[in-house]
Amino acid sequence: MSAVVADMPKSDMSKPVAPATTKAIAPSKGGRPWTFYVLSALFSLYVIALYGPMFCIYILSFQDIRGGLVFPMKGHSLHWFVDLFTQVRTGDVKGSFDRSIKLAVIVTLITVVVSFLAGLGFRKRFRGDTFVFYMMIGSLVAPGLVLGLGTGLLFQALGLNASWYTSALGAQLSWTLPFGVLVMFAVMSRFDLVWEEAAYDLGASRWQSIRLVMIPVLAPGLVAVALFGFTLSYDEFARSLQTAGSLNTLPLEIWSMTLNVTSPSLYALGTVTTIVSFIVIGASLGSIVLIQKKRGSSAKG
Amino acid sequence: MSEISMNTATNGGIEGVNAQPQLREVPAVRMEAVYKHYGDFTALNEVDLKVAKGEKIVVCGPSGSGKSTLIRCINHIEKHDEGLIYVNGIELDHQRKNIDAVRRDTGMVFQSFNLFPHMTVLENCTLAPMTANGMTKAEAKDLAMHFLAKVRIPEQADKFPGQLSGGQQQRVAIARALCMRPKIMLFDEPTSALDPEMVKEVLETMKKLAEDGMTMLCVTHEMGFAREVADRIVFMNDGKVVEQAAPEAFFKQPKSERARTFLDQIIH
Repeated sequence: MSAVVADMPKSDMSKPVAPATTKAIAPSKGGRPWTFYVLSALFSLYVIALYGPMFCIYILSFQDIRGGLVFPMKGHSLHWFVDLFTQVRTGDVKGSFDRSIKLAVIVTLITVVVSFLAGLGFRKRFRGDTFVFYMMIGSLVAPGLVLGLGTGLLFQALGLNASWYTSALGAQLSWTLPFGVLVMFAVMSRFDLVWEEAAYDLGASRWQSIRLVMIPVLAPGLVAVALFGFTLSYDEFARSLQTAGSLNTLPLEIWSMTLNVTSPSLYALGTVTTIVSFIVIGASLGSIVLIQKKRGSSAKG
Repeated sequence: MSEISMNTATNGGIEGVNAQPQLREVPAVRMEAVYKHYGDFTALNEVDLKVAKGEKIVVCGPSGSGKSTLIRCINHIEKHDEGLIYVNGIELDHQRKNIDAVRRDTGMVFQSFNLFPHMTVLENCTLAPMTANGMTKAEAKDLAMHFLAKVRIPEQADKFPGQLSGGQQQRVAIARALCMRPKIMLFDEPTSALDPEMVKEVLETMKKLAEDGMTMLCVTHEMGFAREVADRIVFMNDGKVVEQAAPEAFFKQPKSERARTFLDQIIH
């Protein structure tokens, strides 16, 4: 959801937490109420619980050749990162990474385009719209493993080969599309019909009003939808498990490595994939901020 | 016929109108028995209206009386259900090329400004001339700066709409509409969303436009503006045109009971 939040005008978030003024109102002791400290402690614990386990992995991935799978840390080097990409026994990391990125890009494109069209379609009520909506959201509730299993079985029954770019693509879309559409609805609700009317009055065709007005206005939201599509696909496991066919995607590769690789190169892989995720998220949020900044959104609408 | 005779009477009584409506000319707008329904609600109920070229019309009436719908049907942003609408002799018959032709002739100013938020003031003004009229960037820029100067806001050309006040945004919206060289300007409550201190600057701009002889239809509650600028007041209620009269006559002696109560409510 952070993407959606980042989409809002900046002023909401960057407001200081009433520094001097609170003192003026309650001059007796100054300082903050005790609840502030309780809540901050709680939040700190939450953050530690959230990131602590991940940091264990990152730290252990930088051990030297003597390193094992548990603490204490033995030396420090980049040995296991090199090992990750050079040793065959650690698995097909490069190949699965390549497949995962390609798959995520395809899923992202389809998700953005279809969600956008769905968003356009749902701007007006039509017969059976509620039914269509719940049908769409239904696949979010369906257990991923079962859905993946079903997709795999269906492909088998139809005599098609399961592979990451056919059955796994379909199974992942059943996950990313409902999400994309939901986010798109939120994005669309911020598009005022009046801009479209102005475009029409100025002589725009329907396509021109979408291309020149609607898409640029909604650009930050579209980036958010794309980010959702990408990250959901990039680390999708349950639905891909039975549908990826003979070649693994990255999460499946990591999973199989946990079964047979007993060296810190597994952790090195965790570190590398996290870095990729953060680059993607950073680029998306960065572009949203850039778009907002370019529009001088600092002033009130 | 009664329509035409009234126009003459109206214009005879008003001073300072540069462009006298020509009787023989094709009217700027002609509506005949126009109906518009939203479900069970009848927004326009057998509306007849004729606007001569150069005429300034103020449409008023209680909320929900169909005044916005009326002028939004003229550039086909709302589709009328029955009846005939001609704009400069072109029939609005749901044919694409006629709709495009009519929209080339009309410019609309909306209550909520409707400036494109992702473009600068200048880009807002040059977009349509470039994409719909095929102007070059330089031509469009000259044109835009001309009209931005006219609404006295050229120094804001490189700002984004979000950085301007409401009054400034509305003036940019007027300039943007003028960049398409419309023959008829439609104003849909252009000052209703403005802070009181900004109403005047927008009304001044509209007055200047009226002095230049532009054909104007304004939905507005600004009765001072109506009195000063309008050639004719069109009073609507429940989707019908109840009364049409010159401002003097309308404000002093409204014929219908409904108009009388309406005026009592808005003029304190």
